[in-house]
Amino acid sequence: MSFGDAVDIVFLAVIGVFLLLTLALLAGCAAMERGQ
Amino acid sequence: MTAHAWFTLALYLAVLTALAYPLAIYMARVANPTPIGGIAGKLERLVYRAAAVDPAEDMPWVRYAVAVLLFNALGVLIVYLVQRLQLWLPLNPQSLANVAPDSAFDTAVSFVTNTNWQGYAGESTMSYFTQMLALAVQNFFSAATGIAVAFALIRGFARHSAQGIGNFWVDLYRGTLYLLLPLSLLLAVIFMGQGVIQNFHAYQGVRPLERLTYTQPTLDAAGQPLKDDKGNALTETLTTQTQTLAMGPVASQEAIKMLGTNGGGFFNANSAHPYENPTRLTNFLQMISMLLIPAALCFTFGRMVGDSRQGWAIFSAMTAIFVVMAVLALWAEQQGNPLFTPLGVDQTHSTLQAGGNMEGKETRFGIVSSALFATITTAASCGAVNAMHDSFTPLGGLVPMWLIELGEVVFGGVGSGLYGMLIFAIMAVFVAGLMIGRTPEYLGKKIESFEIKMTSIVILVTPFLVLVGSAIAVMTDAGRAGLFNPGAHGFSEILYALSSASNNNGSAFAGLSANTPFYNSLLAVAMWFGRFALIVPVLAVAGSLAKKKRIEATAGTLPTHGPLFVALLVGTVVLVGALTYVPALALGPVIEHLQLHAIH
Repeated sequence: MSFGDAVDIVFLAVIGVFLLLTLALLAGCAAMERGQ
Repeated sequence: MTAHAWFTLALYLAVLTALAYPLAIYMARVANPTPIGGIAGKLERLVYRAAAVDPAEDMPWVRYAVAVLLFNALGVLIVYLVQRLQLWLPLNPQSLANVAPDSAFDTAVSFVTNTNWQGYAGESTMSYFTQMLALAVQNFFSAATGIAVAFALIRGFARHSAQGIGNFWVDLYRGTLYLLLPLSLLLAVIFMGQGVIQNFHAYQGVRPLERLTYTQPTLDAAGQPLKDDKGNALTETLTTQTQTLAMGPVASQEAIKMLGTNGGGFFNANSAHPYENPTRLTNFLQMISMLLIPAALCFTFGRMVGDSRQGWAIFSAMTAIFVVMAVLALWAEQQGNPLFTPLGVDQTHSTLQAGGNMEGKETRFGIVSSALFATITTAASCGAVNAMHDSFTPLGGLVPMWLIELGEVVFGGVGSGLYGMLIFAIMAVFVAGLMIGRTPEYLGKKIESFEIKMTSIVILVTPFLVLVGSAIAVMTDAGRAGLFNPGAHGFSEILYALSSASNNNGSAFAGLSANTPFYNSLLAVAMWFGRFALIVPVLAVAGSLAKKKRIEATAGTLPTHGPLFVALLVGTVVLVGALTYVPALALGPVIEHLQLHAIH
């Protein structure tokens, strides 16, 4: 499978999704700390 | 257990402790963020200036965590791209093709998260460029990330009324340059002296003196095992007159593979391959190097919080669990297979044979060095293997699986083992506080609701990933298609894979064809969130603790440096691990053990 196929874009996007979900967890933890 | 096994275990622990203690003193200096002088200091400042980093910045935990996440997400991106472009990059004498997208994604997440789960065979998939500049680089950076997070949490305990927990970039730089690189260089030179190869040659074709006949699973066009009516994998017997010897820069990767508790082998056979692990001495050094930094970090913790007894307490708790599990694995493997006894097979240990269960083990290492290696590599979150865990007896295989499932806190990964165990220590003092009706405190810091919420997240994330992931795999055709064995053993193979990925160990039980889009995607999710969904709340705990005032110990304070606390900590780790995983283990290795002895 050559580089640049749609599947590459999908996996690169998934890296972004992983990062965003983890940042959301971070934001949730920070909010919990402020709310205590 | 044989006298040889007892002696090896005792020697191992003695050497480990003797080397870890002085290293801990050095590591406490590495963790000190004050500027250093000399050429090293100038070079360090030059790198910071080039990277626009202010080394004097004391980061609050949120900023520290964002730096960790961005740096590692960038790592995934780079490792993915290198694999997908390797055919057009240098140092590829075999002209190995670009790695398939799903495998490249799985491998990128795997190496960045310090897991090093390998769905591929290194010698037939990865170019030297990919091995060195993508995978080995992440071996250093993922280990340094773990150490940095451990340093940050220790600072949370050591500081009081402080807003910051250190500077991630400084911790990353110093962990890599002043700790991992020098130790790896030293170990790589020793490995080369023992016969581990280090070259850029193309693979060598040799003609053996005799024809080589071997048996392998029969695969379909998609690379999945073909099975008979009972679900057993079909095999085919092949004969060859030539053999290809894979080459490569192995020693330089082997050293950090062990020291960084990464575990990703240059070759598919990992540390069972004679070019990765050629002698008894390299085998012993590999076992030492897996636990060296995690053990030393216990003592570093004691020094940094100003009470070395605290470090000894953590070290003692880890050692207690480790010894029990090692003895169980050594005993189980030495017992052998009860089904062989009625067939007249002599499985006793003698001067002429290793005895016991030698299936899947290197004859040059035998029972003791294989079972001990398996215990160490799963106590640490390393995942290097010198024997196939799939071929262990059911109880012998349960040991590495359960050690992983305990959360990789029995020494654990570099940094991650210590911060995981400190989270359990917080849970232990919380439980003790509930028993006596006092607000729990640890090292002069009150443990309040926020710390317990974060601790709960840390403890619950990996069981969720393991158990839900295993359930998805056994309930779907794509998950079951990769199995080479039916029944309880097949379930163990899936449970082990999810446990290994979610806890960032990376070893495979074997017997599972996991280089498929299904497993590459599922395991990537498990590895990423098993790593970073833990690091975030751990750093939150660090930040919260650093802000607190230190309170003086009173008569009602639980001493956390004595045998009572060690027992409490061991009990907490074991109970959480048992309550979480016994039902799943009962469906795998436990029932397999009972079946084996019922037939017998």
